[in-house]
Amino acid sequence: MNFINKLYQLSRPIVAIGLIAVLAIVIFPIKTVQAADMSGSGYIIKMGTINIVSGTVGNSSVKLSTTVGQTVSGEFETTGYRLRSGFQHTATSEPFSFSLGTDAISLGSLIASTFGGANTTLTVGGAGVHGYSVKAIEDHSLQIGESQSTIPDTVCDPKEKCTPNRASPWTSTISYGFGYNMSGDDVDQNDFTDSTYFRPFANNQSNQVPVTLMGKPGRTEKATATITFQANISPTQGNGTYENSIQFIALPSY
Amino acid sequence: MKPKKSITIGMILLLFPLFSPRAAEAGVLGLSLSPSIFEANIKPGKTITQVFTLKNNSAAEQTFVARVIPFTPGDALGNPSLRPNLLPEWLKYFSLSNSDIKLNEPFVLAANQSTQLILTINVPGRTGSGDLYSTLLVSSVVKDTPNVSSTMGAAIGSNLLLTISPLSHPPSLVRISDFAPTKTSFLFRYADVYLVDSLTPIYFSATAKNLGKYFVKSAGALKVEKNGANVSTQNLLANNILSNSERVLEGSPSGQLVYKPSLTSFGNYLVTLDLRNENSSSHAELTTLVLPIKITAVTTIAILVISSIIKVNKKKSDVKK
Repeated sequence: MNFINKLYQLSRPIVAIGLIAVLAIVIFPIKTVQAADMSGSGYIIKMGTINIVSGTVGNSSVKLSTTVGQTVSGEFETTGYRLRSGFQHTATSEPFSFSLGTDAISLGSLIASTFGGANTTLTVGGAGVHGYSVKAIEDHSLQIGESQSTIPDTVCDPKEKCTPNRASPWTSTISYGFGYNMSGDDVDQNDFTDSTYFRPFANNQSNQVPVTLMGKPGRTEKATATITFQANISPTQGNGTYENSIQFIALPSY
Repeated sequence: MKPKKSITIGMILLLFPLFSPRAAEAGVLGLSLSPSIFEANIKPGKTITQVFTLKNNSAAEQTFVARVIPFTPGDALGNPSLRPNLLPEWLKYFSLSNSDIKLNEPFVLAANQSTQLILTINVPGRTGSGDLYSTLLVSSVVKDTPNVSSTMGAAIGSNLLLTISPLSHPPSLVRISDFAPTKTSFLFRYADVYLVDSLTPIYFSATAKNLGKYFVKSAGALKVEKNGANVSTQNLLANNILSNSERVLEGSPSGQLVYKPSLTSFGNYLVTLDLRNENSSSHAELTTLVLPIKITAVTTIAILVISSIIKVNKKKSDVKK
């Protein structure tokens, strides 16, 4: 009994230290390192500026002041132009590139009220310092030739309707249509939360504009994402080959 | 384990990397275009030429079409929003000087073949001053493939930022429209003073607005000073701020504007953001009060816990006596 009491006495400081350690971990959580360049030198002003406008504006938290002026022109006067191309500060050796894993997808023979799907990859490289975006638009809904028989663009599950700009779950087999899910690098994971989240494509026939599928501000050497196409047809859907064409557009940021 | 069996398993493990799945090296349909941005300041009446390199990275021959499409700023992050339905008169200034490739007309490139697109911009003499924003967009022509659901095309762009002006450095007017620590970087705000912890990096969000007619490049620095002495300087990335648009300002090289106080940081720190370009400037500042809040909290809790343990021990030993 005496031995147990002694052991209890000895263990209490250890418990206290443990408690402090837990508190320290809670208050100072381990975070990922975020690198940033901090240097002591300022920047070099190569030419003097003659201010022609100045002023101060502000609100309760920020004071702002502005000046506007005109610098002396040199070479421009003789040549008539000044040119800059590529990203000056962090030029990439690799050109801006974009590729699709395939140039056509087949959803196969669809069975009513059963999801059919296919997927491919989108790869972007050399996006420079400012980043990029990849957008997509379809020419029209899946349809047979020029006929009016179409598989509509999905609205996902009836409870939470998805739009070209917002994904929502699509698990109900009585919700018919055609849509896509995105996963992988530079995909908005707040929108495509998991593999059940889908969106319809922006539709050119409905005067919609291309919608961003993946993108990132800042330097991107290489990014790959997977696009999963999904379709579900009603029992009354007519037989035939339903087709459309989808344009994927990769644009660098300026 | 028998020696024969272990040798066999070892051999299999050694051979495994040779048969493991690998990522595809190239897509079926791919292309690249460089440079990805072209900026020019041109006098009315002048003609300039820029060469772009286009490569068909596809596994097969592809047909492409090159177009110049106007764009407007899509957001504050520098993403263009293409406006293919806009057909301004100035699209006529653009043409390709290639003998065999014209704008808006299809041309063929073999697999892995490169070509040069010689873009000529001819600005008529009586053109008014202002900026023209467009994208040189090269798209693959969608092939007619039987018995598939969706045929897909790939397009890639290069942004063209043009200033038409008789002046080499036309006047600009850029203002810092927003400057503050991000919500998670400070604990409390009173007027223009932000209370921050000495162990927490302070991230800032900043936006600039170009009120002028011409695009400008952001340049300048985020500086932190204490009692007039410089503590840290972070230069801004050179982002293009288009006319009548806003742009998020980014720090070099990570893109984040950040100041990381040290363990010994304590007191008032003046944080200034200076935005300068060739002929205008804008300045914003705020104050951060850096306090060792986390260190103090942990130390206090530790002292309380230890002292209460000592007290309890003392009481118990007094009772025993």
